[in-house]
Amino acid sequence: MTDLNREIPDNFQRRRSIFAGSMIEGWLLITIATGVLWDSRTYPPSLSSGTPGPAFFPRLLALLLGVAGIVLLIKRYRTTAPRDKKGSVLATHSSKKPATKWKNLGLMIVTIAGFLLVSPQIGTVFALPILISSLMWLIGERSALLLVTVPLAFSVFVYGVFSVALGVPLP
Amino acid sequence: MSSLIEGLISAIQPVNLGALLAGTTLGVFAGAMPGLSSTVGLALVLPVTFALDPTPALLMMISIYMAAEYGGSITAIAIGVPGSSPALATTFDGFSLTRRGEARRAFGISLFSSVSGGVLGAILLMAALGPLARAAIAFGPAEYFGLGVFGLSIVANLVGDDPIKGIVSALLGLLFFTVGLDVLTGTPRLTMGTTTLMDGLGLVPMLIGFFAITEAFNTVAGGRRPTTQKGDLGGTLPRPRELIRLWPSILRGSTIGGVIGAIPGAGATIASIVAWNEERRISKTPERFGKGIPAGIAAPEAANNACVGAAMIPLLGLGIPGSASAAVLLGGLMVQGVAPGPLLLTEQKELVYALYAGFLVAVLLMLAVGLLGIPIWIRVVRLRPSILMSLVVGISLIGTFALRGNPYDAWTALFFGLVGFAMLRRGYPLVPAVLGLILGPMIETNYRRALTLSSGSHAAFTESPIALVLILLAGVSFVAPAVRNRLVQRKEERS
Repeated sequence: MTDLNREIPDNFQRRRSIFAGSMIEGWLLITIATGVLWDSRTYPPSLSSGTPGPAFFPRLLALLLGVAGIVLLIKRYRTTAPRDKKGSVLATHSSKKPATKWKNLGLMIVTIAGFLLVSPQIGTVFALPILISSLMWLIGERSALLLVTVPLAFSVFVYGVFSVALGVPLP
Repeated sequence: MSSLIEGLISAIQPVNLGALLAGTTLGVFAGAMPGLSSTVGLALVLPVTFALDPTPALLMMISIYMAAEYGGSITAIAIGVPGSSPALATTFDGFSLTRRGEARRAFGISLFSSVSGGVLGAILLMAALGPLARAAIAFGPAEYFGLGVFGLSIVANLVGDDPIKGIVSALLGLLFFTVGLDVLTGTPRLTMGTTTLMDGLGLVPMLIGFFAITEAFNTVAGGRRPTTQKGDLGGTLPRPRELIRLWPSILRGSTIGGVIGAIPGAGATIASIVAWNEERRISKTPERFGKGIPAGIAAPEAANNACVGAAMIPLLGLGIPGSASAAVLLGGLMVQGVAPGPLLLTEQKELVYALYAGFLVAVLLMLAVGLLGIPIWIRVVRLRPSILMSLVVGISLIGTFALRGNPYDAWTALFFGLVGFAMLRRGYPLVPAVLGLILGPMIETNYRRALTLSSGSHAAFTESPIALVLILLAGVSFVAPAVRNRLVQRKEERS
């Protein structure tokens, strides 16, 4: 009799999440392939000389991506967790992966996007210290001195190199 | 020989030597800065060269071109971000050595290989200006298609444990290339109805997104630290014995760089990746490649520097620029009233010999600047992750913008940073995608051009011996890793 209350081993948890990921990836690839095929319906399929037109390459790639997506889905359904003779899921030792700090990642993306939006308005030289300081704090820097001096020095360096020395206009 | 000595005397004149030194320093800097490159460095000094005589102007430009190819390896080794696309292959083993605390060794190997490749490229330029230029011009669409497919076959060696994921990565790279206007007909493809995507996604934003921003995302998400912070991170410079042992790899890399560099349109990026792959293919321990093997740095670095001299062969002999940097250089030559072509060797012999000698002097200056700079590169590696990764993101975004002055490129880099992070988290290698984006234009455009020229007949690819050999080599390269793995597996089962 299978013990339904038994804790699922870490290893299987990890494998199951990978399988779930493969399913998502499989469907994602099929969706991308469908999108490319849909968009390419307006491209000329061939040129007047009978040679491949602009639609040929994207359609070929869409087809191959679609096939790869299906292969990933089939692999997902054909693979099962390792079990013993009685049918119970086998426990194996595995090292736990460090948890992803999604909050930090999200904040970093928002910070970079904010910099890209704000820098044309207030100028890169003024936006850059805020970006660098925020990123340093997100990565774990807590020294107030470094959080202030490094971004300021970097902004002066960027201004000196790009704007003054190389003559590249910054937003 | 006397002409070369005269050229050498001309190259070491104070004005010319000053131009070479300024060009070398700027070139190393341009190559090391993600977002800048030899092309950007050359374009930036073009207005300065207008005020110079033809000889110092040309010497400054060739030294920038040469030094930038080496400079790209600095950030590739220090932080795992190729300063310019030809240094992509150097990141595989260079950054691995840095992670092991042997950054100084990696920098030494890279510098020695770059200098050797540069010298060999210059010798090739002197010896083969005439014959190789004629061979290179024989390349038509079918041959370029074969070269592109051969380049893409390298993916088979980069797919890792799961071939499907490697193939998906390469397909995505090829798909990214198709975004924008079709080169042959101008048809908008996958632009979602916006004009912003008409120019395509761009290689540099992709490289910066994949290698710089993805690394920063990984760091902040707790995936990994960019470098080890304990112990002696720098290590020691490579011993002369080790450098001598690397000579076969350097010679092979230089030969590959010399041949591919002389073919217009192929470029240093393809040469360095092909050199790395060939080194791995013939190695008795291919599994060590990508994990910090010295030959994995020596071959691509020798190849991309040998490309510089080789790219001058079609440029000077026929007026055909072999790369984007050579195209900027051509613009500089024309502004100076120098007309490249078969008559250049007879009409402006002094200038050509000064250029030959200038190449050799530029390589020596690159050695000096490189050796003096190693302690500085080591300090970069030693920076705290919080500072290093933040500055990498900052300089990457600024560099991406500076490339074309287009803020949209920085958004593209952010997009690729997210895509790269997702791909790495799910076990998809990034390099096949980059290869797809680089080789996509060569493969598609030349496939269609070849079929147009042959009225739709695929015989175009079998009638050309060069194209046929390249396609067959690509087939072998695709299948070889799988066969090799199978044989190793069987051997292990038996034992």
